[in-house]
Amino acid sequence: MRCICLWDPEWEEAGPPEALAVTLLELAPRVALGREVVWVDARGLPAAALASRLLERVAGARAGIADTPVAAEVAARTAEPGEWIRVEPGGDRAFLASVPIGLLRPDARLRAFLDGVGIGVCGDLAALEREAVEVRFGRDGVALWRLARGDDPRRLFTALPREQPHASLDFIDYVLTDPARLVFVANALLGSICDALRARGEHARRMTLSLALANGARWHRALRPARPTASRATWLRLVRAELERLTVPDAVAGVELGVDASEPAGVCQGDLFDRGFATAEAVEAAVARIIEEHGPVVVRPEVVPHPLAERRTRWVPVEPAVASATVLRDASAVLQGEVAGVSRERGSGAPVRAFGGGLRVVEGEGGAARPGDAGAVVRLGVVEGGEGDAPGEDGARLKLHLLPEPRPIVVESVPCRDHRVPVRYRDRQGWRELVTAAGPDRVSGERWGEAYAREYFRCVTAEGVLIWLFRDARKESWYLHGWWD
Amino acid sequence: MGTWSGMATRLAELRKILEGRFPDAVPVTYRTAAAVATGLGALDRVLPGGGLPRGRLTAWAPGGGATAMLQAACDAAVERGERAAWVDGGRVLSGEWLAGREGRAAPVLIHPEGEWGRRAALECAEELLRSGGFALVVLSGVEVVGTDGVRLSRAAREGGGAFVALSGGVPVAALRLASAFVPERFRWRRGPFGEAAELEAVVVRVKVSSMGFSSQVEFPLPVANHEYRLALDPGLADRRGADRAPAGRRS
Repeated sequence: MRCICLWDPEWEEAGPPEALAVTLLELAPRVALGREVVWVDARGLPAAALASRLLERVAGARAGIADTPVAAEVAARTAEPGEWIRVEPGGDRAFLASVPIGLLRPDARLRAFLDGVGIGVCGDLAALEREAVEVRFGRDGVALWRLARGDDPRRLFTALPREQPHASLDFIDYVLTDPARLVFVANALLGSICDALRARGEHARRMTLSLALANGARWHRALRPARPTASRATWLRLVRAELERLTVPDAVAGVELGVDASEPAGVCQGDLFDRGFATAEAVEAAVARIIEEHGPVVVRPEVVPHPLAERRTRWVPVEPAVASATVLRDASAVLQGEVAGVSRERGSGAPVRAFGGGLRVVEGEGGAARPGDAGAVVRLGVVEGGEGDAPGEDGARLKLHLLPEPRPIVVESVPCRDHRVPVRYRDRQGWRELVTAAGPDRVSGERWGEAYAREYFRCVTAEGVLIWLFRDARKESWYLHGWWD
Repeated sequence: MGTWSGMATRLAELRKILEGRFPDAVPVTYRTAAAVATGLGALDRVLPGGGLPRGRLTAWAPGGGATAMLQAACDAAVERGERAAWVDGGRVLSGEWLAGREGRAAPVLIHPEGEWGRRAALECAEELLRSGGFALVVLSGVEVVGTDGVRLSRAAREGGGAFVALSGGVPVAALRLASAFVPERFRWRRGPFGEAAELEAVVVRVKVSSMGFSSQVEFPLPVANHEYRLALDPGLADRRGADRAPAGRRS
């Protein structure tokens, strides 16, 4: 890294003036102000000519040109006023060898140690072994030893981040209070951003939507799709979803959209264990179209332990990015491939039954190879036959399904101890006999609210259908609530 | 011997004729595409190809544990790292199937609403099938009739996923299943009076049929019994009860 260091003895007290950077930026692309010096990035530039022009602008300063900051600074401090010293490329250590150790600005305690052992120049210190320096002078001594050898880890000028596409619009004569109208503005801004991304051959991973408010504040939101994309429709959908949820304290005076992170469009990233790899974008797009066409119909349940079954589940909308994700619980499921429900006795080498799609564990190393176990190593072979296997605990089981609303029915019942047991009921299709009725299971509550009292029966019809009836004890009426399937 | 060899020759000729007249009609038993295993070993062994056929429409008559078995198939697909979707046109699925899966992959559930629920359910199923990202799509609560079945069948073929319609009158189906409980093989837990108190398991009989193929199997299915809560507070039992008669009738 070729750099130029400017130094003036007048900067020792207060440092270089900040206005100097503006002046120097007219000559050099990047300038950094240090505590007592000024650094100029000379990579790819004629350093000597640049140093001469810089010194013309800064009267009384001196300049040093070197590969490392320490050599450039020492060269600047040893130059004459208005002149520059250039250290040949690769010659930083040789240049520093004859320089007094005091120019590296060691602290007083370390300086005393060095004087005590006769180290006066950087070359003497650089010639020592690192372990010897560390033992005698400690960590500060090692840092000074590195500098004396021209080994300066400072990176004054890192790689410039590439400017990402961005677009903004400010409302001069009016402000917006309806966030929905911002969608039109956002659509226009996204058009230029997505065009810029496509021109660069990139997809955006993250964008920031910023709204300038009339009270001077700013509102920010980060937008992330499931997959990097330059699709205007995808980004507009994300923007619209945010704006529909928008609650800001004041009217909007400006909109800005900017790409925060992007990647080359040729890169196709996906989950390693996603068997639908490379279809995630298509799935997300399909789910997004479904939501746009039919509303928030993609849902997941939130279950609460309410006594009434019809009030237990609340359906929460799901975002397309979430719906398109696939995550395996652990890598052992990949090892097992098509096997579902394979079990194996710990330490046994005998083949075992398989519950899944036709594979059997024939050998194994280590412990039990149950689904969800991590670290089990198994070799899989082809099932050679087997009797009917029972689905395990994680297999299928009949679950209760509820009618949207309990359906009134007519029931004939017989007395049994302290209650009446249904023996047949009539629905739209006529009378149905009940061969078994288990119950009652009584549920009641909300005495001070909307009180309820029900007696539930789990019944089996003559056709073999499992249904769920209840008698409303308050209304003395019967209802069909659900069935098992 | 001559009869057998003649029959074999006629079968071979018949196959050639069928392949010539219907070049795109590949029987599901040809196993040209890997099937979607349901995760139920007994059922997978009787299904052609070891599972539900990809790129094909399967018709499964509702009832008899069909929903439970298809939910297990969706879970199995997700466990394998694939995607599964369920379009609940009838809005009868309870939340217990998918509850408690935050942070884990789960089948996508779609609840169409409103008076256009049937049409919305069909359109959602078609959209999911065409995306090609779902190994298994199940449509329930909606009768698939007429051209709807043809459209969905084409969408399944385009996307390559297995499609199951829980419907009885599907006109075109590569595979048909029908399941029913075996009533005399219900397993009940008995109460203190010897009466049936809780159903623990049932035996399901599943019949599988396709062009030139049929089979059936019986296997047990456990029953997930509904947990009765007696109070809103999960830690307390609500013993307040309620008046059996409205307050106005009290003397």
